[in-house]
Amino acid sequence: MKRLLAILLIALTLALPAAADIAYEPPVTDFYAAVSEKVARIERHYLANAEAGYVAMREKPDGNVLSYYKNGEQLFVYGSYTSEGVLWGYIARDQKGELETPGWIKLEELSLLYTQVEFRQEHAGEQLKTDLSAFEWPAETEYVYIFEYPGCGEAKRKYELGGKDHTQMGNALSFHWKDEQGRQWAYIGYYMGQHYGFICLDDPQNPAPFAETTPNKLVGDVSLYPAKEVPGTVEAESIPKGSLKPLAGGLVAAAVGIAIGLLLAIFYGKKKEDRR
Amino acid sequence: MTLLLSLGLSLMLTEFFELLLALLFKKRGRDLAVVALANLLTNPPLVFLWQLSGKNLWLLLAMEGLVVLIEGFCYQKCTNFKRPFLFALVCNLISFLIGELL
Repeated sequence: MKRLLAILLIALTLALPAAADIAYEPPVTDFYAAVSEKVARIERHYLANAEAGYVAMREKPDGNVLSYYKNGEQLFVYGSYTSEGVLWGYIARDQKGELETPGWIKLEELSLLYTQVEFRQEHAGEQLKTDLSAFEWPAETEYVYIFEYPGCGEAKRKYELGGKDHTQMGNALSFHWKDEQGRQWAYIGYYMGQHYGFICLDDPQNPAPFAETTPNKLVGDVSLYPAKEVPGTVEAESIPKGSLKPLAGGLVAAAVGIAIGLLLAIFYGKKKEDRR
Repeated sequence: MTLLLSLGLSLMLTEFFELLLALLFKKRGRDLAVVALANLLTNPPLVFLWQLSGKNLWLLLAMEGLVVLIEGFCYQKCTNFKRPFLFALVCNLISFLIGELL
């Protein structure tokens, strides 16, 4: 019995770190469920960028249009799937957050956003060979801003340092790099939750360390086609998503009410007939 | 497909196929009205909840089971069908399969 308990305990201990690293799973549609084994993971942010000025998100490749996105809108592509020779991206989130009904957009109509991945590749040769494992924040540092990459624009997160022991934070730092102004930066990987991004080690509490930034920079020599109004569907333009739900809910309730009323009338009518 | 369109189309198709089946089973007059009303009672909430759930297949199957019970109860109380629950089961099974094929 003791041996069994020991085995169970070891199994549980082994399972815990794995649970902490659980990969992101997108919302599942019928079509996604049917092809999920053939979907290649991407998990990157893209911008809508089609010659038409907008892109159509479909319930499945070449299926009905679920919604339109103007060029420049940011979309999270979970993975790609090839249908009849065309590569489609599975859109799990838009700028407003996770999609209730994810859909598919042709990958050729999307442009990959420049992120820390590309920054680290581009500046790989400029890395300083410093051991940052013993790095500690000065005592007065209350919070640090985490940026996608140096010069990207707005910080992606403000991370409060208060109340926790951060002596191990140095172990999560890598890619030591200096910008043109001589400020040191480091990339922070997985640390107390997901904080992937760059921190300015010399000026961590500055939300805008660069006067000039290039937000929404695209990978490669790609520029955005001008955005255009999406097709004139009432849904796409004037009614915000989700606003049809109360109306639909009301209609459903009305249908149920009418059906119950008429069924009761028939029931009592039949009862009277049966008595006769 | 929009929620409203999905609700309307689903109700129309269900009414069409289940009334057709009822006619094939030689149901007439008030019985047909009960079939139509039972579908009006069950189909819109089923489609609405299914859409809200993100088209969860298991929820759909569970709700289909509940629909058979509710419709069977309606037929038991409002018609003289000999096997109301069996009729509800057959109708729903066929319309579900047709729906899946479409």
